[in-house]
Amino acid sequence: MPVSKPTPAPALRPRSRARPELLGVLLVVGLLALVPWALGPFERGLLLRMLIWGLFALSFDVVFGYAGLLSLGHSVYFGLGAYGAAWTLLALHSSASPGAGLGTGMALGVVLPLLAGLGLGGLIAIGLAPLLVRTGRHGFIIATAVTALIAFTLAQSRRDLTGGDDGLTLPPLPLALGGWRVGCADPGPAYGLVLLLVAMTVALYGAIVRGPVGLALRLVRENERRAEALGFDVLRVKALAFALGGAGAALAGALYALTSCHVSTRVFHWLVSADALIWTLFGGAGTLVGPLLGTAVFLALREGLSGLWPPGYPILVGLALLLTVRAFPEGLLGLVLGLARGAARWAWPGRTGRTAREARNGMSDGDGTGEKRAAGRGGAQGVRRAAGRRQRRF
Amino acid sequence: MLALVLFQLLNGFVWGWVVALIALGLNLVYGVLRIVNVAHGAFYMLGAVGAYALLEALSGWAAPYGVKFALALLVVPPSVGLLGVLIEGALLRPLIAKPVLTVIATFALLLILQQGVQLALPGEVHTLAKPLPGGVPLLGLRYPLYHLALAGVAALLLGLVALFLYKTRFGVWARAVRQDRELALALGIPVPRVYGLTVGLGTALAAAAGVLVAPIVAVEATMGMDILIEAFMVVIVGGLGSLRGAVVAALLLRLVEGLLAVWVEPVAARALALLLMGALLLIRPEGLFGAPEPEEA
Repeated sequence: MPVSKPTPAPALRPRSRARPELLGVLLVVGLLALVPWALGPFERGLLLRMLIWGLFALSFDVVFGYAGLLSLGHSVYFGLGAYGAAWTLLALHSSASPGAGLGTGMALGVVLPLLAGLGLGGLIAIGLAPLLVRTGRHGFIIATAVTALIAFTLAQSRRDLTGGDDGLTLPPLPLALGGWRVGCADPGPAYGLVLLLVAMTVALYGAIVRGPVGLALRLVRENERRAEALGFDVLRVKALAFALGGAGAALAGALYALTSCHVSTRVFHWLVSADALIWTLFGGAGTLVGPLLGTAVFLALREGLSGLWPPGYPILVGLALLLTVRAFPEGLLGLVLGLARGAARWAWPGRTGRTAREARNGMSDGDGTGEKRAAGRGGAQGVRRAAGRRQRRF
Repeated sequence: MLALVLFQLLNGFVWGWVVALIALGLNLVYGVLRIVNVAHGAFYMLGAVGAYALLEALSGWAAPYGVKFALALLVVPPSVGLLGVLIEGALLRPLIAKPVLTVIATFALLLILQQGVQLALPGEVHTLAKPLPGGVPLLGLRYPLYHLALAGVAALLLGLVALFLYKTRFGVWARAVRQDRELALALGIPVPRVYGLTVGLGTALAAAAGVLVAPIVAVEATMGMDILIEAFMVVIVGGLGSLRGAVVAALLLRLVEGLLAVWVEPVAARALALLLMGALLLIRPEGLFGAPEPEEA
């Protein structure tokens, strides 16, 4: 972990750190692109799910971590994306003549369902965003949870369209790579497609949250009144974050439906949104890497525990969440970075750098500027100290 | 036809009181502590499971079933309330300045409680006998007597809570803290104690609802999951922090749902009722009684 010298203007910081970061990203994407071909179908499927759910968690993080809005209705857009893609895939499948070649079918059969899912989920997110963000900080949590309940109940009530609890069974994607076709047990070439789309979306999100829009989101998260005083339309910034996140969730949902051969109304349930919350928070909210990391860790844990002690997973998740909230609110990423920084400081005592990312990492809400500063200084310990200070006010 | 309409309306009325009990606890905790308690559904579930476990344990005792059930109704909610007080002190108090973290902590609690019960209570579905068998004749149908008694007890409990909030010193404190925490503190009100007691009262109300419905639903670990969001809906339609609003909205939601269930499938009736409530929210985003924090209610 290289430690750079402190500079007076933190805004200049990301540029100087761009190169090692870019290298790291390329390395990870390269590994993710090459390694799975050597693995079995099961491990490949697990990696595929990590990518898709990681994208879902990241889209949640844009709303939660960056804009500070806790949405329990994020599953709605995932579900809409999944069903939009599923319905289109089924329609194309039934209309296509069995003898038709894969050539044009491949392009249409993959692109159309993806666009349909993205469009359905994204448009509804855009439509609902201005209404939902009006409800205020606490009202928003409840109102979004209610949208999840309404979507879930509506989907349950139209069994003819959604298949209810049993769900719809979908044909595998009409996609092939040199004779290797996508199957239900082995994603095969679909893995490449998912990796490409997820990497592109992550890059797009990265460009957005590191640009002026990201600054506006974080400003609204940290201090709404100040944002207003600076001339920002707070509701519009929030609605933008919500729509951006919803579109990403819809894409993740479409990819999920197209690669898992099955989709049921379960995807609308608010517990799916809560999953995204868990993964994001554990990995590190308000960062790009955190949600992906948290998702990967938890999916691997679930896979590992399902063989050993299936009921243990929810309890473990609960305990991990409590631990995260109490001991390292910056998440796994914050913890690792904090340890690395501590090690670096121990090795080179003279150079104490406080990086822009460190300042960005801390999750707090409302007017917690004091906590913020403390969190930047001493990591988890600082947060606890700040919390104690706050508490003494009662 | 008329009998069916009446039957469904009565059902809606009975369930409306149950939802009102749950939503009232949720709203009380929100109003005083400004915490959205996601674990609230788990306390409702604990009430039902607690009643089931207690009645199983007492099955050797020769007393009439009704007496044992009444005992469960007296014992279980306060025990769950005590658990709520402990949880507030140990878990929520240190986080209270950070609303988002309290949501997450209560969600973690929900997972742990639910899965713990799942482990302790294996098997699929558990049912309890009704303490009051028999029914009331109703235009050729028979309406179960216990349902009516349930609505009566729930309404009585709500009345007691109202009395408690408006006629006791603690009630005055709680309402003061909810209006202005800092000022209440400056006036010497023991705010932390008010927090603890409020959470205890809220969780006890949810548990009471759980005990009451235990004989008419399937008792299982996940029973609090969906009713929690319904209580959320009721709270926000009634107006965040408004106790009267929560009761009115709960009755409204369940009566509309019951009425719709005369013509369409139950799930569709639910979906339509929820959509109607959502439409109501579009017209009045602050909720039915959600005027900018009135001095009471």
